[in-house]
Amino acid sequence: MNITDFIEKLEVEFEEVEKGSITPNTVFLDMKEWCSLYALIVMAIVSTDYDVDLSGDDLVGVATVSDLFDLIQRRKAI
Amino acid sequence: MSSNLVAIDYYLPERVVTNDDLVDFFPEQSAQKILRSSGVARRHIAAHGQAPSDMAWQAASLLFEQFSQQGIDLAKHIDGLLFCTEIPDCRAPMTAVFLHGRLGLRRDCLALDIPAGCTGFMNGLLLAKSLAASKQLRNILLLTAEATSWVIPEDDLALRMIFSDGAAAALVSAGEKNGIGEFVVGVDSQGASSLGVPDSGARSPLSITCPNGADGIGMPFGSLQMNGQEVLRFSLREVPALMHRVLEVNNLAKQDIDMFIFHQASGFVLDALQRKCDIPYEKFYRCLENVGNTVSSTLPIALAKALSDGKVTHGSRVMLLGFGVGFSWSGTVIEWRNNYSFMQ
Repeated sequence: MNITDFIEKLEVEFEEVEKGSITPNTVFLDMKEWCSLYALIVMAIVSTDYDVDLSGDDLVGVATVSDLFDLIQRRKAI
Repeated sequence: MSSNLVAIDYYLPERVVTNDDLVDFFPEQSAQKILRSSGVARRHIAAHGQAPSDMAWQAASLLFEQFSQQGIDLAKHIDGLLFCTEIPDCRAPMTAVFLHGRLGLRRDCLALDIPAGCTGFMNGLLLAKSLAASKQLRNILLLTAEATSWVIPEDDLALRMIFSDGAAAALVSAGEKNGIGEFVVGVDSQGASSLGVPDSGARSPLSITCPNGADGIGMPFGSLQMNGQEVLRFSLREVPALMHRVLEVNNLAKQDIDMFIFHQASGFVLDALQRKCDIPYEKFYRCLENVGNTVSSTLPIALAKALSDGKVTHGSRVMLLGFGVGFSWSGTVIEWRNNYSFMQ
């Protein structure tokens, strides 16, 4: 489990986002394509690929891709 | 005594709303994006005044026609009618009573409504199975029908792009062989506020502060509310566990199932569940694109379509999982056979 794989998964599912444009410092809300569907996509990836259940509040509480990845790792460690 | 799912049919209203039609109403959207978000290209919408009971009557008539072609008047053999809907004809009597009369069923017949939303068909199938297996009843007509378009505000694209109207009819009969397996059921009332039609009953009567679009006219049957994030979380939490539990109680392994048919909630939910449940594409049935989410009718419609597509055939073992409003969930495995017959 590393952040490069996580970013690859996001870029596969975020169809409108240019490949290679997402970095660990990318702020979700700053992405021009960000929408409610993308929030659902993130929740689905985190559940299906990492078996971590994220709430809407969890998503509101993270700003960057790196923040989210750290949260997943913390939840996996519990 | 055992029980079997003997026959199935369905009815979809003539009026179709395409994604291009939705773009006419929501010009900032594109048909492609709506398809990607919902997994639905076409949805069927009940005609003005076409109640769920009317659609259920149509579905039942199509089922009866299957038998009348063999010279059988099925109506004379039905001793149980279960009707799943959340929009009854009136508060009392039950809509199943009216359908009983319209279908010309015999007087010594149980007639019961089951307002259980997306889990309705499965709950009805469990009841029908139990009633037949206990020898209380012999031939149970299980009807499902919803006109969800009646409880969706016209300016709510997220709901309009997913939901569709329709009905289905199934015959469950007592028999020597057992074609309906063990059920797993569940409910979580914490989900009640995430999906439902509030302000529509005794606890909170229908409110006129429920405008439908710009004209502000109240919606006479209430307004459907859905928290998409919570519905997704619920689905990904409970449905994979339900699948494993259904396999366990039926002493089956995943590879023993020939076709998995899940409630056709939305393309997004189905994609995520297929991945999380690790089900091969060819064993995961979908008919959402041209039907939409018909609530309690998605499972019987999908099963009927899988039969007509040849994806489910004589001897197929099919897992059926229903889940949704409540939250609630229910699942079983059926063995489809072309030669099950009703109880004379």
